[in-house]
Amino acid sequence: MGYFTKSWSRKFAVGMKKTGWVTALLFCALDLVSQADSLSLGEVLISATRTQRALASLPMPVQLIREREIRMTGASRLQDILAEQPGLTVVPQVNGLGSGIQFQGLNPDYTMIMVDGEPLIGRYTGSLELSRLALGNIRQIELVKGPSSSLYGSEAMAGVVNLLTKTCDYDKIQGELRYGSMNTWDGSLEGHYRVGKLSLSGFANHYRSSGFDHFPDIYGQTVAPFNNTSLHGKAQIDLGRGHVLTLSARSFREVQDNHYQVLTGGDSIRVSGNAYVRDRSVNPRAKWKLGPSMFLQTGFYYTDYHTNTRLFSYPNDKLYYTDTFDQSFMRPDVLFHWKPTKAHQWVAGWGMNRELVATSRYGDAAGKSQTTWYALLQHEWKPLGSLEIVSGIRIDENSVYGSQWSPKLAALYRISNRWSAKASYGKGFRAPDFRYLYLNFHNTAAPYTVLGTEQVEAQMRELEASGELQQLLADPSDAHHLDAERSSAVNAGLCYDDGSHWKMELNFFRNDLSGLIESIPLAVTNDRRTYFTYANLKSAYTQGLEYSVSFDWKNGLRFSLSGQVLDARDVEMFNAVKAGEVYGRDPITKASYRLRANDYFGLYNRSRYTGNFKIFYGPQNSPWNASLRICYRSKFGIQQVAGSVQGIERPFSDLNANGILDRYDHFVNAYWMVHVAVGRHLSEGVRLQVGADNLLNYKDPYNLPHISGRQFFFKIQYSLFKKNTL
Amino acid sequence: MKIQSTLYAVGIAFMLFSCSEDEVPEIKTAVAVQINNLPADPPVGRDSLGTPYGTTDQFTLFRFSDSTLVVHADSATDKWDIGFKANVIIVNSGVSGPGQTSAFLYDGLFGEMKEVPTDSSFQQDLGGVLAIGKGWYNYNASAMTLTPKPGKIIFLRTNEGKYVKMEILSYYKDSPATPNAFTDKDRFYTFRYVHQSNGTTKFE
Repeated sequence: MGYFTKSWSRKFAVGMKKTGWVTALLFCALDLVSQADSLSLGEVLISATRTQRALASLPMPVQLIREREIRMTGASRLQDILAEQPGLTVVPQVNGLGSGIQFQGLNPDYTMIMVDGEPLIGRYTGSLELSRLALGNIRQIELVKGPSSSLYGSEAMAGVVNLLTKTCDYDKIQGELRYGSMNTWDGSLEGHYRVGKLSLSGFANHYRSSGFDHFPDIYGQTVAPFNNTSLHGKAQIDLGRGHVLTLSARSFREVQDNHYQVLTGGDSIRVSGNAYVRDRSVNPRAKWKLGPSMFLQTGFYYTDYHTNTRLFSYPNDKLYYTDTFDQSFMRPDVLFHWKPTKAHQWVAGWGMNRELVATSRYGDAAGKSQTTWYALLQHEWKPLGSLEIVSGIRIDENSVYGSQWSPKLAALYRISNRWSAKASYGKGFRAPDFRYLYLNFHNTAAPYTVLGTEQVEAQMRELEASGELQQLLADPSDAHHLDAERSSAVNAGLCYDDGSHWKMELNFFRNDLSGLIESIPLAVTNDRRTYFTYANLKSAYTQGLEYSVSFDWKNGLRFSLSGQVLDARDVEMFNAVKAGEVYGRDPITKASYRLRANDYFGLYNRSRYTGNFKIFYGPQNSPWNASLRICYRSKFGIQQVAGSVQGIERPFSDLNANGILDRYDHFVNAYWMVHVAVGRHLSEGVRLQVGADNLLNYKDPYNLPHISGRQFFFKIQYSLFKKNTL
Repeated sequence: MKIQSTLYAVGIAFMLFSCSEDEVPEIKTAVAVQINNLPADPPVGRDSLGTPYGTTDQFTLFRFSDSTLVVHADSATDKWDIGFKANVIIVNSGVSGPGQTSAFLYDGLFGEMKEVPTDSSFQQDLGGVLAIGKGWYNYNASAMTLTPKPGKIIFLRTNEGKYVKMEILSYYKDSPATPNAFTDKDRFYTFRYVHQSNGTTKFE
């Protein structure tokens, strides 16, 4: 057997007796050194510029979550770790469950989530479910805040999250098993193997949970039992002379076993069935060196996403509800890098996105498609030793909504060894997604129908012909001109790093959003059914301050405090309040009163203050590590949505029915979440960890049904590795 | 059906405390009234789906000048000004009745509206479009509650040519602070109004 146990500290390496292992352990120690080296190099980020850049040299707000931090928290899904980052807020999906990510106060719809630089698709009403992503094979998570459409196009309006998977550094097999509250099992197997010029990496994860139930008196659970499996594989051939071929593939499957009590035809019946989700991708890529200062990257990315939900009535097993959604996305692309001198670096890219959707929600089974061509250019320039400037522009030409220009300009100036200042400006956009264009949702329980803009003309003509149309509330011919939602944003900040103990960062941001898509009433029929469609209606802004301070004390002890102050408003609403045109009503006397400008609270689901305080303890020479993380979120409002959780209607904030969130409305109270984890390396590559998430058992079942309460976990990891083949 | 109506003259306090010898006590012609729990065809009950049953499908008719309910037999006369049935409000004109009542909805505060605004747009009930319409309330489809929007004033010109300003305060019996569609009885209007009997557009 060529495998030796990997020890995780030099102390253990020295402590080992068996001479046969000592050589291996020396390698192991060397490996640790090289790892430590690559840790400082590990501060390299690629998402912000699509080139390798040191974290400290980037002129836009960026953040890095390293594998070590993920490991020390015991987090196993993406939302767990993102929820603890400064300025990020994990919010539920529109149905009140699940999770999406809010960047600088922008909805989850506007943040692109990528794995190894390729976007994930399959957004439940606009927001991508973060729990689809396992963290076991993640090397680092890169966050770029502010519009990044100049590099990534649509969706990267608020920023990007890029998960970089582990690469094959040395031969290794690692197994991990985690068991926790709610009967949650999480098992992973990971392997890396190198033979000659070929390196292979594989990762498999299975996750299952019994879910939880806030309302045991009601049939069914708040979160029904589910299980999912993630697979990821990567093969790389290094042909030498800077030529590298990579093939990676990923798959995710999830099954959830749902049970509901529903009202139908005056009877209360029980229905049950599975919700199935499948997401997979394949991505061959080539990196080709063209000269000493030039290389080309080209690839083809294909991904598809499929959901199938079926509910059968009890006890006769009749099909009660069915819903399918199929989306696919493919992209050939070319990226050309050129670094003629030390001061200049160019990136030029070209590609095409082709997207297809077929779903039962669009009225007919025929697939809808759109194609986007794009080209991008970026220039990184270092005119002085202390000045870095990044400028870029991208054009997207779409078959449905036309063309978009997304520029970006960013600069960093080093004031001194310790201080630097950053500023950036950029524009972003988000293409109207398929649902805005093609949805045909005819509610049978309530008298309304929602139509995507591309459906409007035909449907209205039909209503008119049949004589059902009573009144048009908007001009159907206007509906055709649905445009992309746009943002322009400024970020400006200061960074301090004394090179040993203190790090500080302060960033001011302002995002101006326009043409946000909202539903509008379109027509009323004789039987009082209202038809809705979508239009570019709203403008909003989010502005605020993000701060983070960290202090590295001696011996692997780090304290950090970070947070965000946010002000997010709907522009028209705020103007109406300022003009004295919005009123409230006293709940007791029932008299109306006029709202003052400072009565307006801002957008729903935005907390003015969020923050976290963390302590990480992980000395190099100790087998112990530990972390304590405290997260705070101040009060916020919740928007009225259709639907229920376990038959309980979703609460909403706007009690006085004036259409805006004001301080007299209902709010979700501020809350704290505390998470702890303690880990220990045992001998021979065994690591144990115990922890508790949401230690204080914070719950708010009505307002926040997605929060489950306290969860304990226990984790064991076993690693086998062979000496580095390098 | 019992209707509580609180009737008081705006100027009572003024007359009691501040009459001096040389001032002729002014007779107030603008009278502020609050009507509580006016039934607007409330159902006898609801089935498990929430669909009401036992309704009469008739409008409750009301006259402002003397705060009086008008019997349904008089629906084809001009004895009534306004009618309520569930969330539908009619005025006595056009498709709704033989009278000449017209009305419009306006944004503002009840207390601040001292007269009929100059940009008035009095309208009768026309086919398909009622003068008051749906703009006065907000329906929450998930909570299934109907809430009168704050700051919505209804101005009316009655059959007799008199002006009225009116604000709807609640749609639920006994005006609960936060109505619950399942426990509170809906289709009970609480509203306040000022009726100016001197024929001017001023409400003082």
